Amino acid sequence: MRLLISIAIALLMTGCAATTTTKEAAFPDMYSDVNRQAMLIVPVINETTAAEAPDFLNATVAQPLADKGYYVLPVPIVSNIFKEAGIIDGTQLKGIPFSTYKDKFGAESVLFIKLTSWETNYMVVSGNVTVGMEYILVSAETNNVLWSYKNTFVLDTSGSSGNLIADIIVTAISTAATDYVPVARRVHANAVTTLPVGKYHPKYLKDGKVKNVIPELASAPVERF
Amino acid sequence: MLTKTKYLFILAATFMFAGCASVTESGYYWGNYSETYYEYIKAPSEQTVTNHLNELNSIVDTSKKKGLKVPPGIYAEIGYITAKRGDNDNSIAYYRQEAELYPESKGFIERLISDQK
Repeated sequence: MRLLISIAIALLMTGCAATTTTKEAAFPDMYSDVNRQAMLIVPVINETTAAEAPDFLNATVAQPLADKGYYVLPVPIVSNIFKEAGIIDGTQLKGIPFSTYKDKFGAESVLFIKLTSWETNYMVVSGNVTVGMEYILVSAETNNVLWSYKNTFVLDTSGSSGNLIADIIVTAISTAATDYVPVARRVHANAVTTLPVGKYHPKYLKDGKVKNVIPELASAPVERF
Repeated sequence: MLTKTKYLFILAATFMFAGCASVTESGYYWGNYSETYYEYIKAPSEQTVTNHLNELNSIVDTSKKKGLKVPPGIYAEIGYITAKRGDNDNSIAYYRQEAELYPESKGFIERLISDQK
């Protein structure tokens, strides 16, 4: 009986270990001559009914991409330019040729972000938010997908001081509060761990062998953007 | 076995690095950038723009003090707000600083400058 349990556990564990591949195997264009330094980030595409959720993501997206060594065209200015053209959600950009972004913004690469789920859960002493995201970076010159990432995360918004009353209050406040800026930060930070770093990063072109890309998560389909 | 002085040194070094924790992996200081930008998105007003502008200026000042490169887009944003407030000369000066610091921004910056005229 014990042997059977051990075997079952061993099988489960190998099943749970996701295979990973290297950054350069998953995203070869990022290690080629393709120039994609100036990155345009367009407004988040919102597929949820949470109308305020994109704001948290739009407010926090520039920093992690810049920290990975990319020049990110200033998001507030870009957002305003789009707004003046009547565009407030990235969905409205569907079908526009990627070369348009090179012409209009001088961008070499374009980052599309899609929010597929945003569900807050409140359970008195614990709280969380389930966030589903798809990221896709395309070349404005070649139309190729340079990088992509999709995942659903459950982020904890609980209090955890050990003091029951304090935890209840903290959880209620943080789950009910409309400020999910820290959550949005963690979502982006999680996504960009597989992104090959850009020119301004100390490891530029040296991170190809980093083997943290899970193939199933690196396959957001470009047709959906 | 750690001697007392070595231990104190390590402790001091740890605190020093904790202070450096606000410099990100590409060497930038962002301050409360996302917070002030989010406040503006949530409730656009003269006040939230001013608060964000103050934060942008603070990022520039702190970056200079720490010998860091100003992050992408910061000078451009200051220029943009300055332009919206009617000060064209100063805004162009900020735009040019952005283009000088980040040459890949030149196309975008030239567009902003010509849009302004």
